[in-house]
Amino acid sequence: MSAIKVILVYLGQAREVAGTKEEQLELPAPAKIEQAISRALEAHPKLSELKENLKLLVNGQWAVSNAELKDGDRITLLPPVGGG
Amino acid sequence: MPTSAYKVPETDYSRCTRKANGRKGGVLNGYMGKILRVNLSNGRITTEALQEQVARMFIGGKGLSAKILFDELEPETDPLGLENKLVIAAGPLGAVPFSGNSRFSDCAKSPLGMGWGESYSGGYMAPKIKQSGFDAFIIEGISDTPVWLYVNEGKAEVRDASKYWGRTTLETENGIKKELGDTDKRQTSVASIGQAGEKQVRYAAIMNDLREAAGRSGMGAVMGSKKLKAWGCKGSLKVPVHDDKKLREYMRQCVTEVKKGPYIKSLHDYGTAGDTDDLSASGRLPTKNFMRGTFEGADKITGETIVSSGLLTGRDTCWACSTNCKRVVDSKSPYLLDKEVGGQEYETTAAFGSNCVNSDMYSIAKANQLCNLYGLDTISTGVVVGFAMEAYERGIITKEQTGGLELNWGSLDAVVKLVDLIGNREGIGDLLGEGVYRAAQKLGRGAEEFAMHVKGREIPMHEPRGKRNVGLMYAIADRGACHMEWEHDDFWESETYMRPELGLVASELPNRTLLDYGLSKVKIAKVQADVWAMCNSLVVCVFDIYPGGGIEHSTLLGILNAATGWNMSMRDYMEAGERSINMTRAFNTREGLTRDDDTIPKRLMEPLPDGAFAGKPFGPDILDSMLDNYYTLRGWDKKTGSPTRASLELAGLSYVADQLDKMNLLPN
Repeated sequence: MSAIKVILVYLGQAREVAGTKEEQLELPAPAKIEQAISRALEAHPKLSELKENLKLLVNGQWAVSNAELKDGDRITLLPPVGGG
Repeated sequence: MPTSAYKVPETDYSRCTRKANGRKGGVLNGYMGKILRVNLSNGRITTEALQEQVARMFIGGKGLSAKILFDELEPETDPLGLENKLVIAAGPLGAVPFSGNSRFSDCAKSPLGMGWGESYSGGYMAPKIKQSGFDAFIIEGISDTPVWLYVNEGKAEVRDASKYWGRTTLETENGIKKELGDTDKRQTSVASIGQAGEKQVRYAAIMNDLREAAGRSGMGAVMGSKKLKAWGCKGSLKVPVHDDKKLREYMRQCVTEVKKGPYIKSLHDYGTAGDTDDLSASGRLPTKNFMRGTFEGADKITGETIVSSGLLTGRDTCWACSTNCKRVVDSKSPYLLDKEVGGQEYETTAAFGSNCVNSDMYSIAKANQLCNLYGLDTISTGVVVGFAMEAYERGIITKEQTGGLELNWGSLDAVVKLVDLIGNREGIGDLLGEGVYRAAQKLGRGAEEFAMHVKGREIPMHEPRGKRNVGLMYAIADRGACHMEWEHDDFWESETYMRPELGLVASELPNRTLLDYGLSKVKIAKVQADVWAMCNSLVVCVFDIYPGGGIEHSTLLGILNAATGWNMSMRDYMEAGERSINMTRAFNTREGLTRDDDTIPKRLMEPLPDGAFAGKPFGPDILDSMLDNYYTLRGWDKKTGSPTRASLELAGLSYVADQLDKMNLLPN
């Protein structure tokens, strides 16, 4: 079975919870964003508190959780960003 | 949203058996019960009782100031003339210690905008206003010579400020404290203007406690026009409260709730600038005078880098606040910085950074400190610098006009030197000190096309093409382009932040997209505008309040009732916020503003070329639809954008409707 490597990028609160700005994941191909998110939640259980409010970008473009990933994709987890 | 006629309840003085600080009529719990009026033309100082009926309807801060200025200013008053008045106000919670309760307001007709002007600041001034014996100051007239106002333990005097004129805010504040013989730096809270206010730069700020700014709307220019260099408050008078035990219970609740705020840790660690790179990643960081939404240098100027680089040398806070979002920066090179003068917040970071294509955080820190010393609003100043750079690129401003200074995008020299020129109104700084709206009119040749303002006020550092409710906010705010009328779109897409007690229920959640602009989304804006307007009348910091901060509005309401003994309902609370919005809208209607002024620059209606929102315009049809819904929810006239008799009467403002009617300004 082939595998793909993707990068998870944590912003804002997600970065605080994960304790890192980004990390690499290896997923069996084919893989969807939701699989990457599940792996992130396993590694950082406290991320689940933010899950409902997280937005997802893949390579800088908005994405939905059932979108398919390809090798080298950068998945950004973005919590709410407000004013001030 | 349904509203109901406001009925002023019978005043119950049965509990008021003692006199509060000499106020006639007994105690007005939560308040000192007195307003100080200072006429600088004739030196007359008087004290007026704050009537309970007025306090209940208008609360303090924004609401009280709107009432005073609507009642006392004639339409078309020259904002820099004899007749304009500056109202400085705290709220009823002004001396109750809980996180976020440290703000006061400065309101006047704006010399920068086209009508209503308001600005807020933190630090240590708000409790000192109350402890000095008053709830608000009304400053009127113009002094012949520079003066400063000293308020101490219920007494006030106007003192000579000739020796401070021409001085920075830092020199002025330190000078006044020395003049008073203060031995403790928190003994007197001082607010002052720098050279920018003296020279009436239209976006001059009022600085207090060395590094806090009431930046927006040009309130510093109003002070300068009156030759009022500063005011200082000292005192230890107690604010009477209705139920001290209950108040303490609510304060403890605040301690618990504030820790739950999703933003609080980030605000402490990285300040408001902590989001800079996040906004770029999501295509919403104003870049190159709003031409782009992403900035490749964002990670070099973001809050985390300010910490990791060592530029940050400490954190500071406002009175009673545990969040510590204020930055202390210090450096000897490449720019000499002063740890007393404050570090950059997000708006400043983006305004002098991405907006000017500048990825050097040291030059941003220097520009910020120069703004604080001259007394300049960093948002307006940064937008003015970005405007000047674009005008230079297009050949509308020439090297001859700048005295040889090259205003190239990203030039650190240009960013820092332009602040110097604007602060002193020297050279090209004189024109730019007028703000982008007036500068563009004078420059002509198409400069209006890239003058980023609404109602004359420069646009803050949030990209409406990625947050539709922010676009509505820019268009609708009576003070001109504002990012603080309500919390931004990101929060309103999940059940987490729904609050049934505010009328925000999950069944009315907008579509899960930042680009939604339907009725549900606008309703959230309206509800949030009401409660944030109430925050501006209580004068509390929304960073610590739901949704970004953790303190719930029900808790604030509990504190208000415990302090005043009023037993207000959540509906009363929200209506008080809505009332203040109707007052400022009526103020602007009287100044001749209409729906045509509720708009955003053409550039913001065109699609971004980059980032996650590339190719998605915020067209006039979208804005029109949002405005229609907003006016309908407020009961305002969709054609003119003005309040109607019905909306004003529902807000308990019949006399305002009568006045607009007499001027033929009420819609049919």
